[in-house]
Amino acid sequence: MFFLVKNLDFVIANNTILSELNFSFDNGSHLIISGPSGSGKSTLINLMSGLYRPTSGHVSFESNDYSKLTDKDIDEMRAKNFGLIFQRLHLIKHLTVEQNILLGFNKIKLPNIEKLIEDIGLTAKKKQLAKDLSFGESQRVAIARGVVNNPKIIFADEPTSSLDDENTTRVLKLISAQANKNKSSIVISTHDERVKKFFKNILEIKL
Amino acid sequence: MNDLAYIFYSIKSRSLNSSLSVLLTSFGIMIALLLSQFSNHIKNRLDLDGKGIDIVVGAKGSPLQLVLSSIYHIDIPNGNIPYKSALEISKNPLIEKAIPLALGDNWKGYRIVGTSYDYLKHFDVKIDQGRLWNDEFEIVAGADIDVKINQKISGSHGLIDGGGVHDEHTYKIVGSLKRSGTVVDRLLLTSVNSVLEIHGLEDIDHDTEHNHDHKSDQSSDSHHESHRDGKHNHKEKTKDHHEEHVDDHHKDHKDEHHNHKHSEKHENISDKEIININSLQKNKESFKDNLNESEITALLIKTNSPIANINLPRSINRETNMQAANPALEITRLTAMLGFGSKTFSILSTLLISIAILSIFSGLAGNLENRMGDLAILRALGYTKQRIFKIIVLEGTLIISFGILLGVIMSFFVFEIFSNLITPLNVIKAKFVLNFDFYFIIIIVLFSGFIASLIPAYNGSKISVANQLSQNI
Repeated sequence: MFFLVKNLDFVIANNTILSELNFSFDNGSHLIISGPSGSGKSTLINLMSGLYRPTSGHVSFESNDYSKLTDKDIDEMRAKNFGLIFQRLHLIKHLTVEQNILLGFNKIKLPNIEKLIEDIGLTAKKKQLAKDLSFGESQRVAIARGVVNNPKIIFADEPTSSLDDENTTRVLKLISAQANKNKSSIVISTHDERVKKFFKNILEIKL
Repeated sequence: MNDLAYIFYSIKSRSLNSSLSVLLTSFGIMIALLLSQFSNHIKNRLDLDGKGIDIVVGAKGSPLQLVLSSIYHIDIPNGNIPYKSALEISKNPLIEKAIPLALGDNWKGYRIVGTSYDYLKHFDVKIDQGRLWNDEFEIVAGADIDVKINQKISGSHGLIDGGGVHDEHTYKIVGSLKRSGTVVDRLLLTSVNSVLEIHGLEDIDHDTEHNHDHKSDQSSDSHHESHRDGKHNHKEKTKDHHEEHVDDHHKDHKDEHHNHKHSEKHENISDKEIININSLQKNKESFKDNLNESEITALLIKTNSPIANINLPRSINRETNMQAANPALEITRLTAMLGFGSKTFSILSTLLISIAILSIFSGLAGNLENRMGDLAILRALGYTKQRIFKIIVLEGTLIISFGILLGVIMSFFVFEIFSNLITPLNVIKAKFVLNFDFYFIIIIVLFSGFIASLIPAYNGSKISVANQLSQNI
């Protein structure tokens, strides 16, 4: 199985965030994690990407059960196979557009960074510091950083939460285009109804 | 993006903070290195210049002044002592070696020292070019003195540069010495008689002859005072000057007497150009004691036994009008007074280095709070804990390395400036030495900086990535 979540529980400070969660998806397929604010969508993304360890249950990627992996193994697996696009973007402000994108690159073969920057329309600003970018530009840089490593899964946490319709479409197209190039799976957590219409597999999480 | 590039941009982004850490480290290193260098030079000077000299005999006065002026040549003498008395002391069976010193003049700040060949033997100094002095007013220069063979020089009165010049007498450089790393490198050495004659000591002798109840230290004091002022109060009679007086039909009786005595003395001294008291002792029969009425500045003594180092000064101080000082005791007293004992230097250096290291620690630890967000991003992107740990340690080590580099460069320059400004260092031509202490301080600071960066690195690598990201704005 490409990605499997089985009997997943996650409790933090005596609060049960996720309980008895089961789902799976194949390589190249996409998944929308939907639900209201506070339902644990971002927590699930963190569990799937290995940033959190489950309280109980199993998360496995390509038959690698996270519970049997060391922190270092999970870090390396994430670096090699996953691309993360954060809701708050999390660019490093004192680095340039190009440097921020390269932070996400962990493989030996250097990607065609120029082409990627051209794809996101920031060729003229590639030497500009992240702190000097607009929100929209920063978002495109965050997406580029998430896909630069040609990941097998792109995790995107609320990528369109503060965007208008036009920009929502643009961002989703950008992510999809990059995913299609590498036949990557996309996992998006969102409560944005506009996003759901682009994807078939939807996992609803309730409070 | 490789880790070094990331560290470079990280340091650059916090340029003010990083610069302060670098500066604090560099100042700590600089002061520690300067203290070490100065301490090293002082210790070397005290050890090398005073090596093998157990007792110094000179005029009554400050024993420390006697030691500093006679052994280290960094102070003015208390006065003079009768040569006859010095000779009597040198016959003591407890004495292994006695070297006479006659001071009084300088050339461009370099002291002209009348002494015997034993002085060179004592410091194991060899001739480099030319030869040793054989005749009066022949002089041999230490390795640090820039002179040429056959160059003529005129001494200035007093022991510091700027006194009245003895134009009437010129010394001839006949040789230069190999570098010894001792005080000899900065001295101009000649026979005792040259120094005595240039100061017309027969006048003093003449007075002494007619005033037997005069205390030697009284005459010495007046001599000393004139040296201190750099004025030439003695009746400096020169050979030429005397010859003029001989031809002068209007010369008075005193001048006649003066001239006669001077000529006689000159003749006798020529017979005995080297005042080697040791050899004189062994050859008493052949010794023409024609300097009995002359004075020298000090007698450097090496004794036969440690007991003599204690007993001999006591008897000299009790039974004669001279003073015997123990250099080891006086220097210990001096270092204790000034507080530049090696222990004090060590404590001060350690304190400064500790401050520098703590600055690195506080800089890294303080920055870490602001950098948690960035580190969490790196971890989320797949940087392992070990890699984050390495990045923080490397960053701390780089900052301290820059600090060390800057500190070493600064200490080189400041040492040069201090060496020119501080007279004792200038006189000894102190050079920055890459000795054990130099490398030890650098390695200790580097290692300590590395250790100091381990705690922030550990904390930085242990952050909860998801929690930290949720706090990031």
